Amino acid sequence: MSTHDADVSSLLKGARDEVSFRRRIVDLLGGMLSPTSGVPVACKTMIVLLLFLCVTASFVLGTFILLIVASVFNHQTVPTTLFAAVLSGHALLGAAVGFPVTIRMTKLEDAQQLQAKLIQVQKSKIARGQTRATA
Amino acid sequence: MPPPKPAILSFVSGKGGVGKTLLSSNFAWVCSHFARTLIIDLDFQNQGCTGLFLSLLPHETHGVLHYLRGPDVEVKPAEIAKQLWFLPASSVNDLAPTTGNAVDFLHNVEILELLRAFLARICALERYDVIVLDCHGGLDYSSVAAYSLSDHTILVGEANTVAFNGTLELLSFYDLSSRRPEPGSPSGDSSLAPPGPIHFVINRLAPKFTYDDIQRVYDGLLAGYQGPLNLDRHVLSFVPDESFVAESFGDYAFLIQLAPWSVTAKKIYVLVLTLLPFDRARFAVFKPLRSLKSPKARRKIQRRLISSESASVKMVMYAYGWSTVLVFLLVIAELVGIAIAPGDPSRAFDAFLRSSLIVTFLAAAGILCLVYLVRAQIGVMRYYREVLKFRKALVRVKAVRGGPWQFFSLMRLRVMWLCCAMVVYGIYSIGAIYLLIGMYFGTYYLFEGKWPS
Repeated sequence: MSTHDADVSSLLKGARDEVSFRRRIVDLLGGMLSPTSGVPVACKTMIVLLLFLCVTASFVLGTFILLIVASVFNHQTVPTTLFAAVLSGHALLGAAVGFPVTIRMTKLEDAQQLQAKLIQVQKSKIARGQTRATA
Repeated sequence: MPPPKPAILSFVSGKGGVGKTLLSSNFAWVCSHFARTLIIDLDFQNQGCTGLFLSLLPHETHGVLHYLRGPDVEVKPAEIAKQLWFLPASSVNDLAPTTGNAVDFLHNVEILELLRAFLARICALERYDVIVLDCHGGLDYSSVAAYSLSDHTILVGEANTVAFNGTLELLSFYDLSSRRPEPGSPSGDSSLAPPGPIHFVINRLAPKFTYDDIQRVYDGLLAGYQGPLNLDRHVLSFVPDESFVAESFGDYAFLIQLAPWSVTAKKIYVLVLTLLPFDRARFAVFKPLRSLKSPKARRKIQRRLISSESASVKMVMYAYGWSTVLVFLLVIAELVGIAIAPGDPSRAFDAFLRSSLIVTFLAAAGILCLVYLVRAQIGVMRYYREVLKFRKALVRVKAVRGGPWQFFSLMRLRVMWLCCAMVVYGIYSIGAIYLLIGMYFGTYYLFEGKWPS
């Protein structure tokens, strides 16, 4: 990992004392999925798929529970209606989680970019100072 | 008995146009509510503060350059507000001819001694509790002198490479000046007290950053500093970009008087509370400072990086964006649900399931849209209320009789605000009625098994 990457990753890892649990999860995911994280693209794809499967599994589990409840009433057509509910649930959850994560990641990336630029300025100043001192 | 030593604060920057004059003049204005305050314009080149207060100065007011050249002249600062005095960079009746001399002064290392003697003379003549020095943006000896004589130096910058480059240049200039054993430099005179800490204020911050991220960026940068200067390693304040500031600056010096609710004003209150060594009872004389006595309230303001106008606009944008997404998703789900559900409506359980699904979807969409739209309406109402208050204050302080168009403009804003307020409270009332009716229908259906006729 280059010095620049180390500086940028310190931004992600830094002080998290006052940060909420939700923000930590978002930062953790963001840290792994960020272009500068060093995690291979295949792993990133797997993480996203795993998240999607987790959400699907929770909905399927909910559907089965409802199905069992419906079978008590001897009802056959419930799954198709519930399928619509699962679809809309996925879409809503995707929007409710995806949008804030996107906003948060954009802000984090803005801060990373600013940090990278400022570090560059600082390093050039230090290098210039050293050149002056040597001269 | 000699008067107590005033708190000296200087506002400096590595480049011009970062908002030093606005921050220093408003800082001084807040201080004047509980302390005798003097602002001194040390920007001999641009004389920004002098230009800002020029209309308030008597014609015979002499500037700092006049006093620095003639040590025996009696110093007479102009009173520009209650308990607030101002010394321009150059005399009011002699602004242009001094420009050449002013530039000479900027590069004169003797200015430290001259300024120190001048401040001592001022303090001996009149009691001041706070002295605010508004310096030139860039590298000059008046800025070094101000830093050397101050209890606190506020280095104003912006979150970009240009301002950061200037800030680093200024710090290395201070560093070099303090190492150089020349007459007038801090290390050249052992009788001088060591300068106070340098605090960083990042002005005009774009709303795209979060507090934790931006603080972490600067913490990382400042942690690497190994020079001899006494730096505060934590940025003291991040001041967001605010349209009220841009609209009023130049027209009227004291933004806080026009928009005391603005985030910039609140940030300045926190700066005053943090930097001045007075006890809390003294601050309590000024009402806005009284409301910030709890550390939690101050921390909340410290963490805020978005102006009230941007927050209102964001609220409106979010509301309409989210409402659209929700309505779109729920309509699709509803259509899919109806299309693929092959239940038999004649069976009681099918009918119950379908109707309850439809009612749940519609109710959820309705409530969510209502919540977001009410939020948007509140944002619009706040926006118009603040703009109206700001414009009214601006007209009042200018003390100029407004023309008919100004009157109509204020009337327009008042009508907009009133309509928005009525809609907000109307939506609240309709929402409450909607909820009551919904509860009645739901309860009726649950107990009777049919909708009320």
